[in-house]
Amino acid sequence: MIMQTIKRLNEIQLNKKCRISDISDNDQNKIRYYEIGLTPDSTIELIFESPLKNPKAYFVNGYVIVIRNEDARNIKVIID
Amino acid sequence: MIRTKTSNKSQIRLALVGNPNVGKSTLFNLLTKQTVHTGNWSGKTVSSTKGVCIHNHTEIEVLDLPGTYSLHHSSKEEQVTADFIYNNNYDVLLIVVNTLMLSRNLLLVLQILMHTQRVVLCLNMADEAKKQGLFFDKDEISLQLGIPVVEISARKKYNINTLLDTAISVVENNIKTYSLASLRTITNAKLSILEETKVLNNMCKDIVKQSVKQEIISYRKKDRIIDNLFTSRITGIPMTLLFFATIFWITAFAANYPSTLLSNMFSFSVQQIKLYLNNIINNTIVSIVTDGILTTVSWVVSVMLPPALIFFLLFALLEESGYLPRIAFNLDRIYKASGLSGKTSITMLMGLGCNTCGVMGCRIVSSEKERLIGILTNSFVPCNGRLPTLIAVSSIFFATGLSSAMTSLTVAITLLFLLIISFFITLLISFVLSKTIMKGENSTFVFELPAYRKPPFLNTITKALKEKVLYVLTRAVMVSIPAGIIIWCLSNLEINNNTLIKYLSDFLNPFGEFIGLNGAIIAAFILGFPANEIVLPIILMIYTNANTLSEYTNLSELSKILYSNGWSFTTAMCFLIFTLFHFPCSTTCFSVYKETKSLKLTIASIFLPLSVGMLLCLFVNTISILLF
Repeated sequence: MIMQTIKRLNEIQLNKKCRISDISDNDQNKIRYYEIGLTPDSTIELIFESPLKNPKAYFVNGYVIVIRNEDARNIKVIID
Repeated sequence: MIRTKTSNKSQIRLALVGNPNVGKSTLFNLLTKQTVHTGNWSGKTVSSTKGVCIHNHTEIEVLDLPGTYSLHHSSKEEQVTADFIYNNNYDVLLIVVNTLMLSRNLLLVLQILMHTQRVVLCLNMADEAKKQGLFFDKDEISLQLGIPVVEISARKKYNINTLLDTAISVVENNIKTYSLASLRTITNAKLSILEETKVLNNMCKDIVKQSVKQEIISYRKKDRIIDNLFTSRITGIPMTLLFFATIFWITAFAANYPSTLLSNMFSFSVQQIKLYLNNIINNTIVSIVTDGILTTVSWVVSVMLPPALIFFLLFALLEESGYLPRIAFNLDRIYKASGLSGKTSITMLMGLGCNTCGVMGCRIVSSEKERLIGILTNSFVPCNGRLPTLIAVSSIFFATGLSSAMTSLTVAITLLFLLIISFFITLLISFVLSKTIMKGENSTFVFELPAYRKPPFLNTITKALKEKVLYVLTRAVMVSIPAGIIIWCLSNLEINNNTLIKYLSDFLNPFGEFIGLNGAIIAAFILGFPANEIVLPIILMIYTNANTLSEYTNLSELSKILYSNGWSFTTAMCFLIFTLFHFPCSTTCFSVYKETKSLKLTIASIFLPLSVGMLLCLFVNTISILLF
């Protein structure tokens, strides 16, 4: 079996592509994530941070999404 | 179906829906270039916009609805669209989709298809997508969704006629649409919103897999470079401050000359009208009309109009370019500490132009608690109407004897300082409110940064003019008329040889002096409730015992009048503070009520800044007494 690293979204490095594997937040937030396009198996990449390091901007499925670090903690990603 | 037959034209109602930033408004402007009638107030389409388009002898009423990601709304803005779709008051929906982001956009499409099939899918930016290597099978998508699909480019005006033909055909039942069995199953299963969203999302993925050949891989290089400039550690916040400062500086100083010009023009006209009418009608009535109403209205308009024009135009350009969400992105952390979110920074920026606009702009905030706090504190931001007052008083008291260049610099620094105070007090009060009276859920702050684009200059100008400037102008005139009458009465009616306004001013004096101001100032603020622009003129009117709003020809004249009426350095400081924090103007109060539908909150929006202002003035006055 290939070893895959699973990390939280707020821990990934700049410009490294990874895949969303799981979202562990309350239901209302999960719905919001789906609606804005953060869905499991989507490719996501950290592209830049705000001057105060929080929130950060991610590129996913063709658009740029802003996510606060504390919310990014709830999103698990797989780095292949 | 809404159809009225007038001669050989029948009318169809068509609505544009879709995710934010897909180009709906561009399409709308294209379709309705003949006429644009606006709804209430349209910020970034924060309410609906209506227009008319004529195509092949058919009159089409086009509505542009606020962008939304889903019918399960999260902000007031998105709620407007969802409610509209459920209310069925339309003939056909045009769902505008950004072809580059098809799978996400499809979620909304499927949600709408669960409700109605009178839909045409509009693949916008189709040419862009192809250029970036995305190939899609339009007919396959159409088959999968059961509705007609038209690819267009709103910017390049490509294929619009086909789009309209298709829309009309759907209305006239010449194109058959069919509902999807899979969607019917979902509707019948009565799933929770989360489950339904998951299932729909899987459907979107399948549709995309079957009809799209290649995916976009990376963030556009051009945008990446710009974003690095606007959001990096070193340049991010300074750039934001630079934008704020430039807009602010231009509106504050560039508007000066046109304002003076307008003011002189009006004042001349009013004098002529007065001379003419005095021969025909009773002089008292003429005085009420000219010295009272016309003078007040012309003062408000000449002070308000030039800055409003400039500010709203610059703001609209900034908005259309896509920069505003970057401001929210940069400042979010600071706002989060106060219980708000970065989006409130945008509403505060709007408030710099006009507090009414700032209050209405709070609809973009998705958390109800944050929206309400934003509404209550928006008047802490000094609107365009207060700037001339702040500039005049700063010039006199902080730049005495300085050269013209140094005066400008001193005034600029003072204004900057005042803005910083306003900013911090807003955050502080928001923090207190969010921890005490207005506890509530913070929504997840997840939003999209749209691609940068060159703002369509002409469209932006006309939109800003028609929607914002015209709106505030109309309101300004409407409130100035009763204000003018009241001011006339107070300054012309006498009891025992003293005008009513003198009595008012004397009555308020003890209290005024207690907090570092005086009676005339307090009276002027009270009478300035309709519009902040007239506060300084009323003060002058009281001091010079005039029977109409007074002008000053230059600053040294104003300076003499103020000093000889007991103004000190402390008075000036307290005056500036009170100008920042008193109570919202009548139009803003009206908007607060409309947005909150709560009398309690409207009253709170009046007393909150008032208490802050009084306490701060008291504080400054006390310190000053102790020190000097």
